[in-house]
Amino acid sequence: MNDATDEAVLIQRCRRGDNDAFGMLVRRHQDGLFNGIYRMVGDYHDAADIAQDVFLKAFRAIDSFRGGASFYTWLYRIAVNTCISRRRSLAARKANLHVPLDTGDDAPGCDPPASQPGPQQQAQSREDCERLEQALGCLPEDYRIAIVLKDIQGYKYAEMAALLGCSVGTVKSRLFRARETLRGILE
Amino acid sequence: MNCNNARQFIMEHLDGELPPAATRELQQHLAQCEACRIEMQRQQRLIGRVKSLPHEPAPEGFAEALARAAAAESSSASRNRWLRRYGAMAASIAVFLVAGVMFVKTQSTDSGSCLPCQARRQNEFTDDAPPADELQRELEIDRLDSPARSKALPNALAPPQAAQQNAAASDQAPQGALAKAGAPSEIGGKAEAITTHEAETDPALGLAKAGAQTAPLEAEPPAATARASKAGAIANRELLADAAALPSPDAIVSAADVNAAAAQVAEVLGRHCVNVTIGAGADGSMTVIGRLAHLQKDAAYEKQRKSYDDARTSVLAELRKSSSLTLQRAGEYAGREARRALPEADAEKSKQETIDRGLRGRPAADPLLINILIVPQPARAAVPAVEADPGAAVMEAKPAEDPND
Repeated sequence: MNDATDEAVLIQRCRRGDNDAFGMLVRRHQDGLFNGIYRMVGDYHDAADIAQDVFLKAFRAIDSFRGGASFYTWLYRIAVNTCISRRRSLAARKANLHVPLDTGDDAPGCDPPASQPGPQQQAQSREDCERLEQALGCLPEDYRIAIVLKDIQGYKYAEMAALLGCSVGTVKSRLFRARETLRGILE
Repeated sequence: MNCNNARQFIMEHLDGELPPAATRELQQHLAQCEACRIEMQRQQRLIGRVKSLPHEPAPEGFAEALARAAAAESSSASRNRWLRRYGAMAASIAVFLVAGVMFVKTQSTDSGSCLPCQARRQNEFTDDAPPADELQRELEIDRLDSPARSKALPNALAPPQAAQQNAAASDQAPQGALAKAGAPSEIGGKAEAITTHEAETDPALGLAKAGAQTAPLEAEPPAATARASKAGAIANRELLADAAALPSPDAIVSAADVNAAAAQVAEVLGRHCVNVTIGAGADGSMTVIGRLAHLQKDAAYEKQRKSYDDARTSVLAELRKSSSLTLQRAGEYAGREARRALPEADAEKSKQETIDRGLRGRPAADPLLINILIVPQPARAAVPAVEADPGAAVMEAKPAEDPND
């Protein structure tokens, strides 16, 4: 039984109220989904909260999953929508989320060091990643989502368009502007 | 290729989505342009940085905590199994969640200004629809596509013994409607079938297919369903007769166009609210790409809508605390309970009658709501059934094909 068939079986079992099947679906997708949500919201605890919310929504609405897209993409669509609505509601409370960036020296980037980095290199790399995370947090929401979908989740333009409910042209121009803005913040 | 085009091409190339011909064109440009080569390196470096962000796994014990939460919902659901049963019945009725806004008949014709209804619906035409509605929208899409729903529709067709009520109800229908509907003997279940047949063969039907549907509660007398069925048939005929006056589906390109079309239908039919669902698809399959409602608001509408909303919100809040019904089913159940509660909430007796007829699924002769399905595809292609609504009749339609099959 391949993964897709296996997943379809789990979904069927889940529809019949099988909580074990639901648990298996969760374990299969939790890491990818959590990472994507974390990169969209930038806060670990919020991400955990939203991820739980997403899975519960999916559990309640499993009957409406029709298999047109993959189960993960369906989950991810719920996640994107939940993130957006959650961020809007938290916007006032976390007005200080967009802190000014420390625009210090040029950063060499987050690329993993070739081999056995020394403590200084590790610290530098960590700092670069933090700067990048901060910069992502400064982006407008639709820009950040575009970057996460493409560069972290690895979706194709067409998949992103379907997921976001817009045209491929919109996806491309949004992604282009998003990267331009991100680069502007970082440089 | 100039440098501006090249920057966009570079991005697509780095994303692995630039077609081969464009890639060759880009390479030729890069060979001659040092600035663009540098630009490509900068874009590449940025993408590399984002991609190399560490992968954050879910917290320890995440799945276990989630399983406990889901199990709690399940056990709560088993304690409320009767709710699930009612929910399933309500699902077969396929009541619109916005049914509450649809019951007030237009009291006057002087307020004919076209109100573009709720911004929420209009936003569904944009890239950035309100996220809170997305899940619900998916559920609605699913309901529209569902063959099970289409199969459920004929159950509400008029039984033969209801002919007398049909004739009585026909007296209340607009004169124009009767003329278009034909002789009284055609009215009722048969007329429904005729309308449906026309709907599937008339080229004008590529444009719009209209109908309205009662919510046949289990205790409802057959006569009421029969009246609803007849009323829907009349409504269909009215709309079909006027369909030629509406914009062609190919010409519908914006929310404003759709809204104008809805306003036109509302005016023609004298309805208070017109829902318009726009879809795309082929071979009978259907994907909703937008939805709008035209609504004529007046004081009576505002008052009754508030009562309905309050009741529905209250029931829904209780349901969500204690059951694991899907959102769709919970919403339908809550809508039904709200409709039951509403007559007590309204002090005016005459209004109560309207509400009772409109919201309890015992409709007046002329429906208060019309739903239109606009499918911008070749005119003769089959379209699935219209939405189900309170206050009118059922139109039989081909079950939509399930794209998943």
